[in-house]
Parts: sequence; structure tokens; C-alpha cells
Amino acid sequence: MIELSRYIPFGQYVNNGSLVARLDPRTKVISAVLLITCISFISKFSAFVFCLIFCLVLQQTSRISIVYILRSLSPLVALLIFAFVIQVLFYVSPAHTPLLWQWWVLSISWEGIFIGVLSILRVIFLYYLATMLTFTTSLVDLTDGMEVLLAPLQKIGIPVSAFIMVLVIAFKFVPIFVGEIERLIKAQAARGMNFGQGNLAQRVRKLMTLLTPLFVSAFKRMKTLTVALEARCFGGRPGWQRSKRRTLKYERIDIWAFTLVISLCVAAVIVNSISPL
Amino acid sequence: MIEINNVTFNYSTQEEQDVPPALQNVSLHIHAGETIAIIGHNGSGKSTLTKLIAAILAPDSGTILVDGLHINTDKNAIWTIRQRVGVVFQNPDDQLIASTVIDDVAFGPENLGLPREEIEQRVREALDLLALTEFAQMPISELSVSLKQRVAIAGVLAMRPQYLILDEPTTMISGKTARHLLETVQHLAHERGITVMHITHFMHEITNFDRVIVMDKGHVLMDGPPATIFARADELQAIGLDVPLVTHLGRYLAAQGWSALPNVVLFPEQLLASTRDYLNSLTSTPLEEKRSATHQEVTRPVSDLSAQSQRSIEKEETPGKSLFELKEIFYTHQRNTPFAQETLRALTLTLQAGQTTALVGPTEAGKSTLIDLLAGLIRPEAGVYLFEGKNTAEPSFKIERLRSRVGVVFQSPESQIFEETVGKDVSFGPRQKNVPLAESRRLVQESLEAMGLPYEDFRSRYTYALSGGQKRRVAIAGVLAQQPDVIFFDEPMAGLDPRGRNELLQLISSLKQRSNLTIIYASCSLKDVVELADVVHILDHGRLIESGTPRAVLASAETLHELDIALPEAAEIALTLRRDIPTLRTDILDLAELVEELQLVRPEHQEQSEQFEQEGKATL
Repeated sequence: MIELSRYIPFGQYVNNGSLVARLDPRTKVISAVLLITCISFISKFSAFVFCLIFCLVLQQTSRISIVYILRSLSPLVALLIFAFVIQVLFYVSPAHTPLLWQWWVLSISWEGIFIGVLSILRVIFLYYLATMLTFTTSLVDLTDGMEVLLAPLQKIGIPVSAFIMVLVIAFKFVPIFVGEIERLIKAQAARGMNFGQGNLAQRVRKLMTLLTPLFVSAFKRMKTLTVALEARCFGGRPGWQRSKRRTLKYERIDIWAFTLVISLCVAAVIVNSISPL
Repeated sequence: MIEINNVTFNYSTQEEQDVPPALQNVSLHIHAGETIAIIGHNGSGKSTLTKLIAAILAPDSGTILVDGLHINTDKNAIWTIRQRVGVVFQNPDDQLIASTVIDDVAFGPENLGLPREEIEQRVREALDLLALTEFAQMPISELSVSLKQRVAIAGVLAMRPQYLILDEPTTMISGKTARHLLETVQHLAHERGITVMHITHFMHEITNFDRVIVMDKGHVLMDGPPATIFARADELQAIGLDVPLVTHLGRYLAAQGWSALPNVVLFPEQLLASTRDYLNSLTSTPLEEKRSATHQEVTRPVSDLSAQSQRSIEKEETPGKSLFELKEIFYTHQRNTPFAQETLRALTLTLQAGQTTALVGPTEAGKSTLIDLLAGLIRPEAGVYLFEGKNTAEPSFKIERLRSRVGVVFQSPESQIFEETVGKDVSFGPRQKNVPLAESRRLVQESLEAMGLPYEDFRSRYTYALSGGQKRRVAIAGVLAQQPDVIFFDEPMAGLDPRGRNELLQLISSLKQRSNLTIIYASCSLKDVVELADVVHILDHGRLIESGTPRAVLASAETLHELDIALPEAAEIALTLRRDIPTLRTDILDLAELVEELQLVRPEHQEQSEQFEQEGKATL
């Protein structure tokens, strides 16, 4: 009933030692960027079939329950349907296309449906890739990978390391705050509050009551954490340079993964340009 | 060596409010390799002192030298000091930074900018020292509090500090785990020559430290070895502290004529000195026989007590109204996710109305889940849950009705306050029920006053400006204002100092007097509940291990100890002594009973013969 953590898979890393989990984070980050670009570009079903096959392979090698991933998608379903309906109804079709139904500015055409389905597919694929990245990559790996990839920016004076540390700390607090909100909701429910009741405004107002105690506790935690960071010699002093225990190393498997991703992207783009549908 | 000379420190907010400084003219010398315990109440200046030593705060006046280094020596001095002085804070969640164990331990050395091989070596060593090697790759969010605590210490050790400060590390853990932690710390001091400064509220933890520093109101009140400090029991009690129970016991026994006891008893083993010879001859007359003989001879309080426990057993047997009934209940936390964890397993339990029931078990025993389930906040995955004989799974059963009858005081209740002012927060429950204003006001007043908070004084105070103890009471008042028939308390004492514990315990006990109120109290320590509970249920890994009166449950103290449940100090001492006196009972609730029980072991014959000898000598 009241178990938020079940529905918030964000930033949860499933440490199951699968092949995907063992890949170098840089490989995964670059692959994700490539695939996301590719998926945003393609516009034919046949090209999406390639992506689907790839996702099936990814799903199989990651050894993560598909049910779990699909359930994490469930809060989005209503939004997706809404977006689909709007897109289909407001689709302005070129002059000669036959319309299935029409009323005022609203219309339904095969082409509109086709485009709508494509965008939904795109969103689902993007969501899937982003989720898989966080599921198979620990936060440290992810941030380490990003730090290395963004390192050139450090040279032109952008504080990448500091930015990455902020990210690490922010991510660290996600499960802690989820737990805290869960506790507050339980406390309110136990004192007679019913979150499931009332109109939207009332529900929003109910959720607002959670914010003050959450902020108070967040500030308190931040204060203690600052002290803890300082006590462990973290802090800007002139000429200070952190070192790293971990080194990222490309393995043969990374090369294979890269080859697979790149050839998939190329294939999808080619199919996209020659295939009629 | 750390030299603290005439240090005064004041938090800026305190200055404004005209409050005396947090530390006043403190002078101390701390030597290499010493183990030091710092005791004192909340606000006595212990934590401020340690932050000053660790160069996190700078003194207003006076000087602090760490190995000859002063904060202002040069611009890098502050970092050298911070590297030499490692601090482990109370709550591990506030200080662990990375997401896996090994990365967190490496965090400090990385900040020092050490080469990779050096970091690897230090991390391996630190993990090894704290027996964490097998957990190296675990995500920190999946660890128990005590493991997190160990990671925090390992993280500090990897920086190779000379001084290790532990700021109340044992308020979040208990029992065996806490003892293990302290053993590790002692080991570090002796094997590695690290100076340990352990801040605590618990006197029994510090008897084997080299030195005890007692702080009060920003001053160092006493400074010396434990035996010297604990000889001044009256002075300690005057500032609300106490000596370990075993020291009290030693004094009683000495007054009863036990010989060969040290002036200040610090360890249970020291009590054995005067019984050892006797114990050696014990084989001829087993203690059991002796006990039964004494029982028949005189009506001692012990037999009174056994009569009492019989009474409570009778009370238990009279078929009371069963309020909650669980049959074969299962529950899995985060079900159907890769993080699923079974928290309740085939739990069958009946809780009676009007009784005070304690649910006792180590962390992750399933206590909090059980409370959520009983309070109707979560539904069982399998099994039957009857509330007043009605099945809660039936569609006709209104879960709101159940929730309106029960009140829950959650773990760290201060964080469940969500309104701005005390009055508004306490009236939250009545307002949800649309109780008329006058009635709601009466409820708020009554509830606040039941928690010892004067209504007029507190109703318009801001909740975030209250002290920790006051927040807890406001949270409980908020639950009382709902007029529940049942109140659940989930670890209400966690993180409180002894004074706060006693006050809260008294308030909860006073609730027992209310008619028709059922209290259900979850704790990982039997200490809190022996005086309070009619029935105790011991849980472990979501299963029911044992049920009975506190005394009945204590009879299997060894099992409880193994389960990492903190025992009442008296029972703990009895358990330690049992290693040498195998027949000693452990179902002991307090000091008086322990004295009673030990009297049975006392070498009376021997003493008598000694007496004769002495008299003989005198006549000669």
C-alpha cells in the first residue's frame, strides 16, 4: 500500500554481475548517447525492428526481470496515451490524404496514427535505454565514466570534478529521501490522512505538507555531511588534487559491445533511408 | 600528543541568546596510544571538544596543538590535522559518501591525493582490520546500521590517523554488535598505538578505558582512570550521570560482607575473586540443591517474585480479548523487484487488548514491518490478519476504521512532525476527523500535558525550534490526541541519552495507567521493556522465536544474547558470571535480584570457618 521505494527505480543499480554490468562505464555512456541519437533520428518501423532486436539482446544479457522494468514504466502509461491521443487528433495531414474522421480542427488519419505510434515507440525505447543504463551501472562507475569523458571541459575551466561530486551526493540522497517521504506519508496516514481521497487540488495540498519536514531534514543532513566531508579532508585548498583508486580499463568485451552498437546504428540508419515503411 | 590550553568556544547563535559558552577554559593533555572515554550529557560540550580537536571548528580563545601543529601554523596545517585526527560521527548515513563499501573507504585517501597503489593498500588494510573484505563490493544502502558504522570507521582508518574520535557510535546499535565495535576499537589502540577518544552516554562501555573525562556545562569536571571516577558515584549522580551497575553491585556485596573485592568493581569477573575458592569446592554441593534449600527455609523476596511471575502467567492464561490475531503472515519488502526482501515469515501471533506487549528483536527482525501491518499501513502478502476477530482482508472491512483506532509513534518520531506549530501538529489527528474546535482544543491540551508539556507555553511554539526530546513528546502527544485504543511505539528511545530515556520511559509508563489503552512497544533491547511489558515476543528474521513474561524470556538469556538483543544490565552481568558459575540464573530483572541470587553463591561456610579461625587467633 504505502511503499514508495517499490515504484521508484530511479538510480537503482542491480548488482548481478551480468555481462552488461561489467562493461566499462564509458562504453555504456557513449553507446547510450549513440543509440539515443539514432532512435531520435529513425522514423521507419523497419528500423525500429533492429532496435527491438538489440534491446532483446540487451535485456537477455543484463539478466534483469523484464516485469520489473515494465512496471517502472507504468506511471508513464497514462501520460503516453494522453500524448498519443493529442498527437493523432491534432495531426495536420497533407492536403490529399484521406481522413478517417474529422470534426472542427480535430481529425484522425492513418498517417497521424502512424506518426503517433512512432513517437510512443521512441519514448519507450529512450526510457528503456536510460533505465537500463542506471540499472546496470553503479553510480560510481557512471560518475567516473562521465568524469573521464567530460575531462576535456576541465581544461577550459569548467569545474567538472566538483559538478560530479554534487551529482554523487545528490544520487546518494535519493534512496534516503524516498525512505523519508515514505515515513512521513505513513505518519500522516496513521493520523487519519487519506492520500487517495479528494480532488486534485486537495491531493496536491496534502502532498505539500510533506515538503516542509523534508526540507528541514535535508538541510540538517547537508550540514552534517559538510562536516563529515571536511573531516575526511575533502575541500578546496590551493593546488588540491584528488587521486583515484579506480582506473577504467577497456577490455575486449568493450570493443565487441562498441562494434555491435555502431553497426546497429549504421544498419538502422541505412534501413531507415531505403525502407518504405 | 594533543595539548589543549585554556580553550573557550562559543557558537555564534549561542552568543546572541546570552547562553554560556559551549566550552569554557578547557585544558587537557592527550597522550599517544591512550584510550579515553568522554562522558557527559547532551550539551555538556563533548562534541564541540572533538570538533575543535579535529580542526573542524576553531577556538575563540586558547590554543590546541595536535602533534605540535596549530591550525594557524601554515595553510596546510589544517589538512594535516584533519588527516591525523579521524572522526566517526553518530549517524553513519550522514558521513558515508560513495555508494559501495570499497569506494567509500577509498574516499579519504583519494582526498589526500595519494598514488593509486598506496590507496589500494590502505583500503585493503582498513577493510581487513574491520572484517569488511567480504562486503567490499556491496552497495552501502543495503548494509545494516552496524555494518555502515564499521565502514565509517574503516574509511577513517584508511587515512592512517594518529587519533580516532568516535562520537556516540553506540546510540544507533546495541547489544553484541556494540560490544564488538568497542573491542575492535580497543584492539586498534593496543595493536596500532592509535589514540582513541570515545564519546558515550553508557557507563558500562567504558570500564576498560585508560582514562575517563567527565564533562558538564562546558567544563571538564573529572579526569582520571575509571576506578577513580566511578569511586565518586555521588558526584556523578549529582549531574545526572551514574556508575555502571556492576560498580553498584560491588558496593552492595561489599556492604554484605563479601571479602576480597576491589574498592571499585569495574568488571563482573572481579566479583568472582571472593567466590573462587568456594566455587572450586562447589562440585560437592550443587547450587541447585542449595537454592531449593534456601527457598524452603525462608520466604525470600525471590519467592515473592516467583509468585508474582506466576500471577502474570495466570493473567496471561485467562482468556483476554484478543485484539490482533495473525496467522501464518508473510510479507516481502519491495516485492517483485530485484531488491525484494522477505521481512515476515509465517508469523503467527496474538496480542491481547489492555496489555502492554513488547516486540523485541535485533535490527531487521521485522518489527517495523509488523507494526506497519498491524496499524493497517501495509497488507500481508499471505496469511490471515484478524482485528477484533474480523478478517481485515474481507471487502466489508474498512481499513480506515482500523487506522482510526490505532496510533503509531514511528522510529525517530521527531521527523514525523509536519506542521509549523506544536498546537497545529498535535491537532492534526482531531482535525482530520472534523472534531469540533472546543473538543479538539481540549484533546490537544490533555495530550500535551500528559507528555509533560504545559499547553499555554507550548501550543504556539514552532516545531523546528524544539529540542530533540521535546519533539519526541510532541509527536507522542499528536498520537494521543487521536484518542487511539492502541498505541504502537517503534524504538522510541533510539538515540536518546540516559536522562532522556528515563523521562520518556516514565511518560510511557504513565500511559499504562490509562484504562483500555493497549501499548505495543518495539525495541531491539530488553532493557527498555522489562519494567514496562506484560508480555514479550522475541522476533528474529521475521519469525517468532519466543513469547512470555519478561522474566520467562530472560531465562534463555544466552539465546537472546546470540540474537544481538541488549539485555538489562543485571541479566548481562549474570550471563557473564555464568561462565564461571554455570548454575546462576539469568532471569534477573534488577540489581536487588542479582544481589539476592549472588548471595546464594556466597561462600558462607568458608567465611564462617575463617571467622572461627580469627576468633580462635584472637582468643589465643
